[in-house]
Amino acid sequence: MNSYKILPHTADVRLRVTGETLKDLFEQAVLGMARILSKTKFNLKSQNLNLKIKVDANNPTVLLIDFLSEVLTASCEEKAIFTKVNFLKISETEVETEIFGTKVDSFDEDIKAVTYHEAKIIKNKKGDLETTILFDI
Amino acid sequence: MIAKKDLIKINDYLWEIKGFRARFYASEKMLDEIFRDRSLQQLINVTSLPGIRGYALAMPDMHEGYGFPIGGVAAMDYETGVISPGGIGYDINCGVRLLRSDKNFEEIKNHIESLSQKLYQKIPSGVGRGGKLRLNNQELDEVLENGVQWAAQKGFGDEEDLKHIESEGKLKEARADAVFEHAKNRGRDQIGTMGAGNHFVEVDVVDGIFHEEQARILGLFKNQVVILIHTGSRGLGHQVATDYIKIMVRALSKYNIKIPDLELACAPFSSKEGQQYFSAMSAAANFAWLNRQMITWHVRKVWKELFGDEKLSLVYDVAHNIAKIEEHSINVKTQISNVKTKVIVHRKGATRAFPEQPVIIPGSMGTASYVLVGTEQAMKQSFGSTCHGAGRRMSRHAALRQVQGMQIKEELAHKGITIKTGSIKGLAEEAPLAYKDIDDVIEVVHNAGIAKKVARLRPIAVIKG
Repeated sequence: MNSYKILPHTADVRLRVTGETLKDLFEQAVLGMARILSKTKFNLKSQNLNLKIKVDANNPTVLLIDFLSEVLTASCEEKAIFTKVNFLKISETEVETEIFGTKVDSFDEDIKAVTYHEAKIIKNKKGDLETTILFDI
Repeated sequence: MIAKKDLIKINDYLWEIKGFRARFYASEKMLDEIFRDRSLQQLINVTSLPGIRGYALAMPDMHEGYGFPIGGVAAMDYETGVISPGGIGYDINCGVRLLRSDKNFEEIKNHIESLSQKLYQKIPSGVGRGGKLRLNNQELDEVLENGVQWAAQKGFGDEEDLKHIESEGKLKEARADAVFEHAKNRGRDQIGTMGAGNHFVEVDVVDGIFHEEQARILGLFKNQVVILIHTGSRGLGHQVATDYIKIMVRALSKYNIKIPDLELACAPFSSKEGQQYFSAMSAAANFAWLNRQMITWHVRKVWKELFGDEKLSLVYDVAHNIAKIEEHSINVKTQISNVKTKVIVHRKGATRAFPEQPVIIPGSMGTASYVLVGTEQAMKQSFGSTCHGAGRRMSRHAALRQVQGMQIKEELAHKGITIKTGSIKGLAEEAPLAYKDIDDVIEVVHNAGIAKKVARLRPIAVIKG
């Protein structure tokens, strides 16, 4: 099942992300982070910004965190919330995407960074890919 | 999980974790709270970093971070040790500065509402709100390399201000070209802004003096009105940390470094990656000092508008998240030495506390803050370091479940504290119950001798994002 859930942490915010495939997992992580940044629901028509992100790493967990970090950087630089991902390429060590977002005046939450701290992509009991991601806020 | 049986009591305020060169400051009654999260496990992890000298230390306001615990101090050998961006944190040079007025509470008590309203209007706060100072590329590079000295040259401060800032508001190792373009873009419009979360500008009254002579030296007196500013390097610092942790994760195998948590990613200080990060971190630290200087400039303008020409002088400005090249005596049994050793001191949620240096410790919202001074004892025990604040004990979500923002606002009003904020939800997240008791934390560092109490401050107005 593809999903994300925002969980509490003493000083920060934790996100649990699940996906049937690596692509689903990455997509849910982007959607989960967008939800932390803004409670507003954006429809696809409102999207007025798109850019390309390409990352490589030596394992899928680092790849996911670095990819999300790049999306966060783009959000902060462009003051935008990205809620659609078009995957041009994805493997365990490489991801290339086009992301689509909506410009906003401000965020609901100031995410300082996406951390590697608790992240580890595993296969859960249902056979889906799952990881926890800790955001520094 | 670590329990009391795993500890050796060094004295009433200092504990060692058996089998590790890891020590922490706490009173006995604070232990249960500390055992509740993974701060001590994280402290143990820090002891595995290559080239660490002496003990990995944690202050009584410690809480779980990622990689390093918040409240952590670690000194790495200058020649053979590493530098770890996670040991500084994402908010590089988050810190506080204290301004003092000549006025006492009686003189301003009828102007608190207008003072706080004007401060709220002039100082941009909240998530993503930009500042008024927009710099071109060349100006931003000058800021990154010169910190507050740039501000003094441009008339946003003066030489007197520089004397009262840690490192005089400028780390000379800073290099603007070590800061990537994304980081510059993220911070470009954030100079002179507070941000959100636990950052604030606060109007306080000195309500207790513990050391008359030191208070006099610092220009503090009973009932005096002072202003406390708490913020950091904003998006620029966050991005510098992100960029270099990523670089160091990729360099781990190159230097054959094995770590238990990727957030401890590091590189030898002498390596290209280590040197580049230190240059970038120093630039972000300069940016943070300039940020607090620009907020000071706004505060001074508001003060002048309301109360005339009196200057708000700087008591001091300290960094909470930073790495510094310093010389210390290392006193661990196997490394007995009275000779000073050059080390890279990582302070993550800890304050430099050199002898006679003012130490400013903000409490949680609506509670007391403290002015202390550093000590010789801190030089011997804690690499000249002490605590940095109250320390969180409850998640933001848990705080939101227990209290409502409006309720907090009413409670603070009842205590005579005016609040100006753009986020009522943020008030609940920062509620005093979400933090440890600042008085307990201060008692520990005072009794341990790693800083001495000078004065206590009581808030009368809080301005936050």
